[in-house]
Amino acid sequence: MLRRILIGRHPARTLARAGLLALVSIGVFGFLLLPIRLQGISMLPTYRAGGFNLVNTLAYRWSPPKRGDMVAIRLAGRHVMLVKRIVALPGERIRIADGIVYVNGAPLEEPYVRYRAAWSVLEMTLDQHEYFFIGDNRGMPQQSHEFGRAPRERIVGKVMF
Amino acid sequence: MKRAVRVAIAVLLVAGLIWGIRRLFPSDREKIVRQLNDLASTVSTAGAETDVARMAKAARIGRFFTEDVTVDLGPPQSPIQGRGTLVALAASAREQGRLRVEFIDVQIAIGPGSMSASVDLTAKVSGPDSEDGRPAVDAREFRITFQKVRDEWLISRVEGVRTLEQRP
Repeated sequence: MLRRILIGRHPARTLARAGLLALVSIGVFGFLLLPIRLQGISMLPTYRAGGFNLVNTLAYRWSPPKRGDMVAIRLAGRHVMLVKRIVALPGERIRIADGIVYVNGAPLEEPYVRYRAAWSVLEMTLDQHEYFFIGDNRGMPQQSHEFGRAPRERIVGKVMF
Repeated sequence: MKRAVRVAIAVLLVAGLIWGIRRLFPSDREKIVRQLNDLASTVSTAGAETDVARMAKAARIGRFFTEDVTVDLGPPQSPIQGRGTLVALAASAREQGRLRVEFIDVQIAIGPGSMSASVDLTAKVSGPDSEDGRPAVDAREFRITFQKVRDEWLISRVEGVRTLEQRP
């Protein structure tokens, strides 16, 4: 009975189905939907350290990244990535004064930010392929938070949840 | 059945032969990867070292680098020049306690003539936070230049790569 439940009436077919499922899983979770485990506090309160999520590597195949998207940014490769939010798009001017982000001179509404320390960044103009990335935890010291501009090709995909 | 067993044994023998050849005659890429793995395990420490052990490990770290190595982590830190300075800093860094270093996503480009190589990698460092002692993980991108010195690949330059820039 147990053998029937575990292996089925046709072991060869069961094995083939298991093999196919393994291949599909490897394909999907190895290349398309990358599982990630979050570490650090830079994305509080949106994401907590230790949480799990998925990165959709096809999210920007047919449309560009948008302001407000949370994305995974590669370092030398994909095994360790930064998770940040896009706040400015290619060609835009951005500066930070007293913790407020200004895009093209106008303050950005950021309902996801709970606390703000007095961060300050001089105005810069992004190149045609650059985005500006920042974490949601603006209450931490500026020098402890990794944020800034990077080219489009650094974006691995969109964080799904 | 006997034929299947013979085929399986033949495949295993060929695989073992290939493995043995690669161990005895590693390519430049494999040598560099081995150097990086050795460096990571030498730099890592379980903590609680005696002064003598700490100095010996720090001296061993120096053997992975050329005499005139430059380590440039970018502002606000000043570049570190020379193997002697690097070894001294490595010795004092080991006083901080437990540290685990891993090199991930290693990409190697061998230069023409196979006398130099450029390596891009991510260094992942785990250890207690210097402020509150709680476990912390940090990851940084580096570009490392290797030079071949007497058939040994040594690091001549380490450059920190800023993944996210804040320059105006």
